[in-house]
Amino acid sequence: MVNERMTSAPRTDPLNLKSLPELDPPEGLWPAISDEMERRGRSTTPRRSWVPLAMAATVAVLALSITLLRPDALPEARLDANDALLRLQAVSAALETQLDVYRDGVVSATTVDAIARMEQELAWLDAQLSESPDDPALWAERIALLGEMNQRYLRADWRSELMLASY
Amino acid sequence: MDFSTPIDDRTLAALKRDCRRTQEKVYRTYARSAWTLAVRLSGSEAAAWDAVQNGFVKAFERVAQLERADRFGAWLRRIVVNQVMDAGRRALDPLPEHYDAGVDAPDHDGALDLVRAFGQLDALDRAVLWLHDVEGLTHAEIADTLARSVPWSKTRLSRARAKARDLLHPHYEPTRRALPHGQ
Repeated sequence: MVNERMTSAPRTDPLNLKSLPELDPPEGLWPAISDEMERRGRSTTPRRSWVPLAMAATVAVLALSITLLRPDALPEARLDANDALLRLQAVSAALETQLDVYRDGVVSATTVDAIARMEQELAWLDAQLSESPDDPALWAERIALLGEMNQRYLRADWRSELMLASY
Repeated sequence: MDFSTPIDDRTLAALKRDCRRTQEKVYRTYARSAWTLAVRLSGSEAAAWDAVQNGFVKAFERVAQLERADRFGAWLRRIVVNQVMDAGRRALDPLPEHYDAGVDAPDHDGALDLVRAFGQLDALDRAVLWLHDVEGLTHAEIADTLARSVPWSKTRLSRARAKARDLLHPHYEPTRRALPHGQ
């Protein structure tokens, strides 16, 4: 007996949810999550006062920009080093030198919180490196972190300059 | 990459230190899966945004509770599912009356029909069906995620399938076959 219902049915199961495509999350989702984490972190960490030092910020921004663009900006060790580890250590040292300039610069309360967290991360990495000084992954991580800290200070200084210029 | 993608022990340790860079890296690993899951279960991008944002924030805040790095994805998925379901309960509107079938709906007619039919199921049916058929969870895992029993999951899945098939094609009768995830 012919089943009338089957004659009009599709051959394959149409309920194939796996065939639906994955969806891309909106661009602003990570910044929203990051901001929320910052906001919650700020409510549990002590704040420092915000002291605008426009001159120091300007000098720091200029120094960083000029130095980063110079090909001979890295320490001498880099020029003689042939292996990747020495190069990583040299880049790390150069970035830390830049960071020292910024550490006395202008930062907002928001940036202080973020930087404080990164300083903790740096301290943890340094503790790891004291146990495994030849681990290139740790050095690479240190370079990425120092780079991000420099950028964070740089952005904070530009914001400060813009705020002061608006007075 | 999906929720089964593991993170390593070093990444988990960095998450426990509240390292923002690691959090972003982990977000990038699971963002598509979490977003797709939340949009499909909630049927709305606004609800999905809240569920994914709150889900990641909760996961990062509570990551100290997690002992095994390879369980992070499954743990995150559970948090996101709970966020979607909790939002539905808070809204006192668990039924998908406002399910937006047009949300990222593919152009293909069959796929659009599927999205629409799926959206007409209620929230629990959607969750059970999606977690089983797409995420590959067993009934025991579904029951654990949704705080229900295994028999409940099996019954719900069967009923959800029947409803969805009827919505898709009223005259369709599937041939019986072994289910890929029995328990």
